[in-house]
Amino acid sequence: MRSGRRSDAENDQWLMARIQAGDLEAFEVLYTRYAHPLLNFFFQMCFDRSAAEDYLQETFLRVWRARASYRPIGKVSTWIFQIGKNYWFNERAKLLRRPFHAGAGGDEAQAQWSNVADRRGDSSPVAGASAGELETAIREAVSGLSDKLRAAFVLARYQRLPYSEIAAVLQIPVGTVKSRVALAEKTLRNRLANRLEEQE
Amino acid sequence: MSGGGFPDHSDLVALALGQLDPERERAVRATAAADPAVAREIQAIEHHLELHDAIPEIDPAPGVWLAVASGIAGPTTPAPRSLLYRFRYAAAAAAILAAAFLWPHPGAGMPPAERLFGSPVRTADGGYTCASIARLRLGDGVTVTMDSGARVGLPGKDRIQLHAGRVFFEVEKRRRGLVVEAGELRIVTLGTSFLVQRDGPGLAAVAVERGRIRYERNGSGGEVGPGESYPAGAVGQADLRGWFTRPTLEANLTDPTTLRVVLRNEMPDTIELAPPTGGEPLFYAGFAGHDFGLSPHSSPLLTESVALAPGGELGMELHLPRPVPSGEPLLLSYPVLGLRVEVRR
Repeated sequence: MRSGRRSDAENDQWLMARIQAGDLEAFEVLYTRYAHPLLNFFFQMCFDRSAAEDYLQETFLRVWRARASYRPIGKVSTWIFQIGKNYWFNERAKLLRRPFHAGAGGDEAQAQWSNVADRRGDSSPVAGASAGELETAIREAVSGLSDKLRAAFVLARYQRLPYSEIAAVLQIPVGTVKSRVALAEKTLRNRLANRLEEQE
Repeated sequence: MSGGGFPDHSDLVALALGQLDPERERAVRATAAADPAVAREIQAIEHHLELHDAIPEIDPAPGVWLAVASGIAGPTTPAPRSLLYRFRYAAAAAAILAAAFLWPHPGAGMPPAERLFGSPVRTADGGYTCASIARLRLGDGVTVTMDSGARVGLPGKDRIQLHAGRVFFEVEKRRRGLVVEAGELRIVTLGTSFLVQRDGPGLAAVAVERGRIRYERNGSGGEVGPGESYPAGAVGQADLRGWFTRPTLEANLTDPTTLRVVLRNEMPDTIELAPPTGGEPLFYAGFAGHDFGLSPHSSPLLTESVALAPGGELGMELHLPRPVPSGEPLLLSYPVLGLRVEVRR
């Protein structure tokens, strides 16, 4: 039986209708809802707070500019994450095309990106605080994943999105999400084997 | 565990992440019950995934929204309807929410919440956050006043998590035993009102106004009573209630480099406005891709404390470092912690 209350998804649809009419206050409400998960998605993709905030800012500017193209057939959160993910991957592609990376293979180029990202500004979640050894080890292990595996793992483990929603965000089949998350888990577990033994 | 059969590794990872549908989950668990190798593998995956709790979450700096708002308020978008519009996001958001959200939204296990003030927004995990100060009753006998940007989670009926920011809790005696967690700091309420703030991992503090709380952190603990805080001195008593009794802002642009701001006390108490310490900006203003802080030096009326009676107004002029182009929207915000307010009854 329908309770008469709007679901979160319906609230988001209502907000999007207001935003499409140019309502900035509604846009601020949408920002408040999704800035945190989106910021953390970017942070977990690069472990660089400053870069993550840049990505967050640009994503919401793109969401505003693309507001007319939104169609209420899917979840608003999925649409926003898609925009963020596309922007992230486009920026990565640009970086990897630069001559600096011309001779590097995929993993090597990514390692360079991670190192560059880690050197930029505040790579620790708290200014002035150093990440613990375990956190550092996990960051290094996750940073070593390919972008595809990392995005699937981050969305599943850190963002806790259902596989079906991850599939919509990454625009791949659910089965592919499942296998990428599993491969990422296996890879990370091998890389963190020493840490896991210490915990036991 | 044999390779290539059922369940395969991806099933086990999906199980550990809670992603399997009930039927498949039952099948995997039945296999695990019959095959110790499968059970061990599930345990190993769960153990590994738990390790990732070490990666903390971060919160966006307030300047990100200001930059977004400045960026979209350019010449390609229609000009806002009025100057007031630009400075009253909080009130406008409250109006939107009143229409858009039917309160309450219960969190997991927590009785229905009731909005009392401001515009709290429900988060994807069933908790609440707010762009500007908000107050809500979380079920029976628990009232929280959230500072802007604060974020709480409601994982259970008797458990509240403070993920970020600061929140003033008023807990009735009959709800004693309610647990508030702020990172490693765990607070057990004993019928009390208290302020908890969390600025990051390991940077949580609690101050008690009345009643008592018991705290635990990293295996040690103690009790905190009225007028005390843990860690000692971490939260000033003047901050306890004053911070959420703050004035609203209105503005009139009289010339391109001067912003006239009126602070009006809409609260029933006399409040004392004191300039921020440490020289931090009092306001932030932004337009056309620029944003800058306006320090007390550019607002001489607030270089010393001023008492504002209920309904009283204080006008002051802020001088902008560069003129606002004609017709250019300008956004003004003031950081919550920047304006220190003390309530006097």
